[in-house]
Amino acid sequence: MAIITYDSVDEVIALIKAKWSNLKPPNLTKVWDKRTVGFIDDRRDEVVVSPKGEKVEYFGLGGDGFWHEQIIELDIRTYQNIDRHNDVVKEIVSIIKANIVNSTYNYTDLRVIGTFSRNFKFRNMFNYVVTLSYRRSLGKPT
Amino acid sequence: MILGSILDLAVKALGKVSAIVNKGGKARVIDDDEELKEDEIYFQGVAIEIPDTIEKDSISIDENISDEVLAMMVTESIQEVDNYTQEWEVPDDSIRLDSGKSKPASIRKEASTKPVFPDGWSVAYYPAGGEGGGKPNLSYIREWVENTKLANMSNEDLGHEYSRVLGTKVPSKLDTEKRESLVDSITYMVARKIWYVGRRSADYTDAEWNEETKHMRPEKGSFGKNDIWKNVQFPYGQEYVYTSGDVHKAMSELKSGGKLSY
Repeated sequence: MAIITYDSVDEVIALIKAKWSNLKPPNLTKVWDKRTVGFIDDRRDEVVVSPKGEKVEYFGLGGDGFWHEQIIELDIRTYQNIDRHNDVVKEIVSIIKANIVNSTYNYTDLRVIGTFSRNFKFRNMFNYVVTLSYRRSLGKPT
Repeated sequence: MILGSILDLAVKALGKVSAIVNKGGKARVIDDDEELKEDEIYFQGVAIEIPDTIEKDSISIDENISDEVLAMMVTESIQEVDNYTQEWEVPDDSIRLDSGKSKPASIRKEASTKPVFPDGWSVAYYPAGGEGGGKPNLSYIREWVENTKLANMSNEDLGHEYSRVLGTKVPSKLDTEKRESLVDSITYMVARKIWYVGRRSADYTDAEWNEETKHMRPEKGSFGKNDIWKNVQFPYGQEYVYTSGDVHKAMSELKSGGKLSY
């Protein structure tokens, strides 16, 4: 394996789905699916997951180990009201925080490294963006 | 000791700014006694520009991330540099210059070995129409705005674009009139930017293009009869730093129902 970009997106989606509580879950959509399908269903909460940059560093002698850091953006959009939006955002951030390390998945650690809100100009939609750092070591590509 | 830590902070801030700017983002080192601009936030000695779609006070950034990760986060997530550039910069096929003169108004930079990316950015369009002096033909740009830039947007995204461009609340419904107004406004703003500061080709960086063309910029108001800068500072003077995707949105005339022309 040489890159982690797409695997990391799959794992983050799998993690959020697996750990989701009793709340009604949002749609988790990969950004390339959103582009293919085009329109977002504005009757259902949506989390668009986008891989951003991937940083690769060497470690280990002879270039047999690589440290990958993938930046992933979770674009959380909810349409009902601020309470529902608050619940969805809190649930997602809680899942990430509680699973900073989890041996079920391939990552070494998963952290929230940034957040911001795009609320103020939107009518009937609440939008919050969470940026994650997904880090994982890889051996020599085979 | 204190001097050492100030120096250390300044050096680290320079590293952060350099990482962000190299990825096409906007940030600057800021002194302790200097004030932030309205659209900036402070992060470890650096002023980072924030687009008006984001609530500045809501931004939180991990204190311990590396410069490279910070640069990725700022340029790809917060400032969305690539998206913004490609959304606002017209490809070659959609630029025709109206000019009665026989000389070509667009000039290709010669002997470049750099790859042309993205597709359709191989021609450099100089300010004020270059040697030929022609203005960008609005109908070609309008077609690009309608059939490419806005074509794949959902109704929701179109509403947000309308709000961003015309400085209003997001409309509950984008009727034909509003949609036409949005298309006209974007067409006019994009053409106006090409007139004043040109459109670089992929052979140049923004900084190279700025250096080469800043003295060629035409006078304020020269784009035509709708090109009026009432109560708004003219942005495209010699001091403007050329930035791909940075299209100035002052649109007082079209906002009040002006006709699309120059």
